[in-house]
Amino acid sequence: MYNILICDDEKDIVSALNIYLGAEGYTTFAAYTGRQALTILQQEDIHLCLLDIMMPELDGITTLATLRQSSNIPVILLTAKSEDADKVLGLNVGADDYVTKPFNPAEVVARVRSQLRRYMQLGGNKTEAEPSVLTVGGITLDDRAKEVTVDGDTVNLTPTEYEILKLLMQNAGEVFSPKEIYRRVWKDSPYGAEGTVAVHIRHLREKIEITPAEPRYLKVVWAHGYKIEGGK
Amino acid sequence: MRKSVFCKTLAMILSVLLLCSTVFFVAVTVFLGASGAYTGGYSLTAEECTDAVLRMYAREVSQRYADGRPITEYFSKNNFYYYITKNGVRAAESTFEKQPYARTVTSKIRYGTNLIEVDLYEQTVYTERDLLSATQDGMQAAYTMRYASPILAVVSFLLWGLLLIFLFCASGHRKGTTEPMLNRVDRMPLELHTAIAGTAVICVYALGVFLWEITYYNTYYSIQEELFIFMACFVGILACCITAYLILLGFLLSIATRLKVGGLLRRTICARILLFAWRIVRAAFKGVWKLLCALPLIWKTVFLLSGISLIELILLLCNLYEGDNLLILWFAEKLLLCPAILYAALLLHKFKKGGEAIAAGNLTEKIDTKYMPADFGRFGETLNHIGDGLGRAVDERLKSERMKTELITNVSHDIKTPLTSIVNYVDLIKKEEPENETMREYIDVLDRQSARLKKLIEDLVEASKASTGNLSVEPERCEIGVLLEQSLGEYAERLSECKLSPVITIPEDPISIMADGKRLWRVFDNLLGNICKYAQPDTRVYITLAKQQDRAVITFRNISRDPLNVSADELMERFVRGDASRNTEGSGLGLSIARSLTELQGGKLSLAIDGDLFKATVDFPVVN
Repeated sequence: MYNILICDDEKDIVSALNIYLGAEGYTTFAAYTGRQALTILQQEDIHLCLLDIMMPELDGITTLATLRQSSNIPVILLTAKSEDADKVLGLNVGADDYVTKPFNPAEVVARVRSQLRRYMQLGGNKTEAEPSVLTVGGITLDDRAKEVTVDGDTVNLTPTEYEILKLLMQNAGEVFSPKEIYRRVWKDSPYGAEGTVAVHIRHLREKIEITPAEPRYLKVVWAHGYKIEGGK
Repeated sequence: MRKSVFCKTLAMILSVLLLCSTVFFVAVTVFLGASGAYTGGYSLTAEECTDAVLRMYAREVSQRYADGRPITEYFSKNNFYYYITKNGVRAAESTFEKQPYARTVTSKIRYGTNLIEVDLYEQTVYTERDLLSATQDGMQAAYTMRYASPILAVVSFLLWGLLLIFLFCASGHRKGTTEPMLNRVDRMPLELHTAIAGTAVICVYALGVFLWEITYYNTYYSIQEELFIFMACFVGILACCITAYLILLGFLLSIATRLKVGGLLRRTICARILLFAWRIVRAAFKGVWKLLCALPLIWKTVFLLSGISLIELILLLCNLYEGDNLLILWFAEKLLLCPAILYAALLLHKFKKGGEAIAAGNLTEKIDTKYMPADFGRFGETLNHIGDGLGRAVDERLKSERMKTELITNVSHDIKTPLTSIVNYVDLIKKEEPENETMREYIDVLDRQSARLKKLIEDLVEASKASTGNLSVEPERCEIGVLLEQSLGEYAERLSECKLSPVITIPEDPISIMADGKRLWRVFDNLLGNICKYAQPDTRVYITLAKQQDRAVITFRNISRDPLNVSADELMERFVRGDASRNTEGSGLGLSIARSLTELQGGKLSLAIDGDLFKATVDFPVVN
């Protein structure tokens, strides 16, 4: 199985995560400062790192910057700071995902699994492009098999949800207004019926996102529409 | 009663009748008094009257005879006999010769060369109805009424007065209103009304005089004709009098209404002209005053100084008796004083600028006090100090606000770490699956409360940031309808879980505003969240977007589950919730955050409570 490094100055959090990830079958290593984490990273074959930002001696951002000089393993930041600016900084320095405290342990486990799949299984071996298979981040849509997988898990979608997802994935990064989505998916003029689009999107998000309120892929562009973006 | 038009009309008519009867009875009483009905000797007057009538008849008989018109048939129905002689010779006589008679009247007319003499013999007993009998009846009737007539005069006068009082009280009152009101005539300017009423009265008076003169100066063919004309004129004069009376009464009633409503003098042409003139004068003065105010201080000083100097010079020149010494002295004084005053004005101008800068919040602006003489310099320094002091106070306040936000943020960070442990370990305990039912309940409580604590902390940080504006807001062009739809899509499930049916009205035409989509979503998120938390299940929730003038207005209306015992203003304060909802979820910060966020984006959030109806309104200026 995979080796995961947990780095937080709060021992209780480390041991709690240890229990959760251990239960999932991962081998965990604990570090309580950034320096310790760097040492373990050099010594062990670590596949993923959970990193706290606010730590004594060496803070998480500096640790991450140092880590990125030699390694490209997935790093998920754990922090009490929830400001947008902090998130942007963390992601810019090289983090792959971000979980804010107080977190839901199940969410952390899901994110860890997702990152590991992408890193270990999907990483690079999907380069041969099949026109009927669309991939954005961890989402794969096989138009021939009418199958959607997220991080390797199959997701059951209704035909409408499938069509919406296909439309957005075919034009990844492009913002579609609810009216436009309605016109393209329902093949009909909206005439005020575009309100249902928002409901379908919400359902879709609940199926393909770990935390629907903070989507990684299917993003809400408020007042404009929706788009799909390859998550970090 | 005073509001009924019928009553008023009736009162008018009655007042006319009563006035007539008053005048009539007064006249009768005066006549009776003058003719001695009360002192004795009335019969003498009665005889005089009969004589006068007989003389009229005699004149007519002679006239008719002279004209050669028929006499016998014509006078067959009268209470007299006649005997006509022409130049002393008997010419004609009536057929009732040997009857007894009471009195005789003789009338002589010279007709050309002929002298016609007519003797009339009045019958002792009247057998026919003619003017004689009518006169006798009238005199008789007047005499029998000699005691009643003054009483009747007084009574009708009093009744007339009462009616007038009623009319004056009732004037202006109408059906449907409690206060007296002006009618169209009352609204006329007073002068115009007076002029019209006056003209009408004068016209009627002239007509009356004309009719009077007709009866006076014209003699006619026969007594009957004359009587007829007289009666016609009399009726005409009476009508004139009544008309004049009604016009006057109407005028006075209108005045009474005006007095009741007020503004008797205001509703005159004079007053209007005066008011208009006053407005023009005031506007002119205001304009001049504004012009003066708008002039820079220095120019004002220059104008004032030159004006005073000019007046002084003129006065001086007028009173110049000896030599030019005084004039030279005056010039010298002006030469010294003027620059000093102008300099003072310049300094004042500087102070004004400095003061205005401080008032506008530009606290770094300083007044240059280098070349200012003693007291001016000190005043300038004081102004600068005030600016410094204010600057310090503002800085301190900003710093304390910032520190407060920082404190809350930091404390919340510190709380979040232990909270993470609590959440995680509670979850772990849950996974242990305790057999004890009570234990499971307790764990549920822990689970619920830790989740609530988490929400509280997040809200607290957000509220403190939003209220201090310590939050980046990036307004951009937003289609508010789309945003609202998206928000409602997010909430569709939660609303139906809470058994609420939303009624959504979004206009077809897109409405654009300047806002930060993400922040505005938070506002709607909080408002919709509140609806889910506090609305009465199984009710409708009305969400409406509308364009009102140049603002996009979004309203959320719902029925509160619990009675709202706080005012709308209080609800918006931080940590305030309806008492009954104290122990349910929510931090009491939602509305406060929503308002702060709305205001940061340049919008407005207002709440209204009407019984159990809760209404939140968000409005933003529309951009084209």
